[in-house]
Amino acid sequence: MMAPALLAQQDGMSQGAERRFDPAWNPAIGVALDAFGMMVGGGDGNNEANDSITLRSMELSLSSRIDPLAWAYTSIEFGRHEGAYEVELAEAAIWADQLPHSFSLRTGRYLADFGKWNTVHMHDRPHPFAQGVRQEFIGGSLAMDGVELHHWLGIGDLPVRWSVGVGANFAGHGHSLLAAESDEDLSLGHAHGANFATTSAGDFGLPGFAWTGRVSAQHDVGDNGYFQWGASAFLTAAGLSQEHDAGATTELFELGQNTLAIDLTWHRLAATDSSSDTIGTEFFWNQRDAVDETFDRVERLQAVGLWGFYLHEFNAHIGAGVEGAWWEHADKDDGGHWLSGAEAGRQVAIFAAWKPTEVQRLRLILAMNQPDPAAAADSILAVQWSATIGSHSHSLDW
Amino acid sequence: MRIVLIFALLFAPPLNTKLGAQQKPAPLEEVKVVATTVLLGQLVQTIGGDAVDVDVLVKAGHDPHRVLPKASMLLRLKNADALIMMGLDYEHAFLPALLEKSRNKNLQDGGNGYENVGKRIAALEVPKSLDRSQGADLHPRGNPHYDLDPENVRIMAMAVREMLQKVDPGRSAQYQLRWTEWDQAAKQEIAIWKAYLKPIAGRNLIAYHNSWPYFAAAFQFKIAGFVEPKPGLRPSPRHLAELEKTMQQADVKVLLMESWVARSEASGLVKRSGCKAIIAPLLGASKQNRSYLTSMQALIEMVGVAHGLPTIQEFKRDAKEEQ
Repeated sequence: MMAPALLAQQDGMSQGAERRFDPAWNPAIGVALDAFGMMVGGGDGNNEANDSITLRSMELSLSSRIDPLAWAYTSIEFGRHEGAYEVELAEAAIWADQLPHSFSLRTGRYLADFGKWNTVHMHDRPHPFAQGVRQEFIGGSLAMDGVELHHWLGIGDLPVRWSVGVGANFAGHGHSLLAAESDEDLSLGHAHGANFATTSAGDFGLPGFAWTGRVSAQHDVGDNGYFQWGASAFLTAAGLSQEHDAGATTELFELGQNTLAIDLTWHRLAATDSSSDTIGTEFFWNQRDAVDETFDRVERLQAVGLWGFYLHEFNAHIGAGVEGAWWEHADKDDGGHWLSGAEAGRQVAIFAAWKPTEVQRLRLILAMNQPDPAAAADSILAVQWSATIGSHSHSLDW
Repeated sequence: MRIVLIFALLFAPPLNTKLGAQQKPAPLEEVKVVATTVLLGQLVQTIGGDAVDVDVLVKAGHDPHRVLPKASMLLRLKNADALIMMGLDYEHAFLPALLEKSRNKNLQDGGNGYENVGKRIAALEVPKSLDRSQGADLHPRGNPHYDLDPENVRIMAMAVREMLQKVDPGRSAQYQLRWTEWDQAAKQEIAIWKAYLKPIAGRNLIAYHNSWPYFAAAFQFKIAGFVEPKPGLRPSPRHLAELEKTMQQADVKVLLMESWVARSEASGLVKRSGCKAIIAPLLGASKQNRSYLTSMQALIEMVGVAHGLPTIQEFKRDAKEEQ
């Protein structure tokens, strides 16, 4: 006759814990789909290839609290790149969100805290297209491998938030539809640092790192509205590189870039009919090193740009809006053309939106896009259909 | 022996320890309470009196599904001694993220200042399964609009009292007294409301959104249909035509709705069917609706009058005359 304990083990049972880890797997899982149908006219007259129906992105996100001190999330995107679909890890980060005195720390690969909208994925934004100016200076949403320290506090009754971050392997992240978004022709593209001199090499030592910083405050306006301002910076002394073929030898240049942004946002939500208004704008100042191939030297260039949108929602289901951007070319090299229009790209879109439910949205969009002032503008008629499956939540974004 | 005595005296509990345990704890200077709804805020103010400073997150008439989470709410939560909420996912659109970011440990589930009233309520319509095809505004823990049953509001008031007594035991007796006064008045009013609506018990009503099952259960009405085909969805013309037919068959005289729903969609239905649209009075929005008891009475009276009953004032007078 066996001892009871031995019997229990043979039956797959024991009196203590046999498993080292809890086998439960229960993160919040969500999928966001963002599809476009587009007709393109004008431009260089070769637009038929650009008439398309395409999935801009499919995002699979998983997030979960991992213990009482931190939570973690990942966002895997499936989108088009040079005409083919590819899978990409957009974000994977851990947040230590229980540090003392309202500090928190994020590390991993993430969309940096740079500007009001950088951390908001495209399908969640209140406008259809990526901001042309951000695409021009950053190449999309600023993504990096790094670490970010966040803090929020009250100065009197005013909530203020700031963050500083340092990282490497930075790149512009996005799923481009328009020329302004891909920095290429109107072919569907996937912008990965298209507008950095090159993607960050990440091996230039400390000067090769990128530094980010942001400070923001949100003022209450009425019972259900706010005005928010923010100032952000992205700085790298030598985080970018470019090879220059100088005859028999190839020279590698380490290049810097400094981009500053100021954002203003006003939002109000009516109590009685759920109508709402949102106005947002961002001003960018960009300074970057570029290789002057004629003289085989590095020169420093400056450019500015502006972007904004207005969205009016008549109720919880129907809305209409406009977005526009104007930007000087990041690689212009003959001084400023502030507001002159020369060497400037621009985009304008008006759109109507219908949300049958909070998890599904259709937009009808009419847009003009002219990234290159020397070329004719493209006119675009598009339909966007976005939907989320499963868990999809948004934290307070400020 | 002397040394032992000295040690015993040194380490013996002070004589007043026993008395100290019974001593009344000092009241807080001011109890800062965050309430998620106007009704909860009013109950806190009524029972707490001058001892409390109440902040309400969802203002009068705001759709709880569309509350704008603001950074200022974080500050209020961070500085609060207590938080009282409806629960049953009523605040799911804004509160969980704010609460987590506020870092106020007292206000987290299980904390000394955390009061989730929904946990005390016998919830109606708890779904056996959940699917997005069932609608957009789904509540896995049951229908959260329990404050439309006045008996549940008495439970809410009791929860407020217990929360204040826990956070500020120094004023326990004061809170008990103020609650008793309010509860007795509420009990009397509820008895009158039930007697007033008794003649029309069993009648059919329709509602815009599925917010009214507790009201219907409390006063023995039946909800014959909803303007929303499924929670959170806009009605199609076909759905409205079918609803109109149902209203005729069920002799529906009243459409119940909240202030924030799209009235334009209901107005055609109201015109064609001849029913009365009753918008729930906004608590705190006018002099008549300054308190819960007056605003609930206004709602009950509107329902009664729409069915041919006299006003509550007239009903009370008639009852007195009969006595």
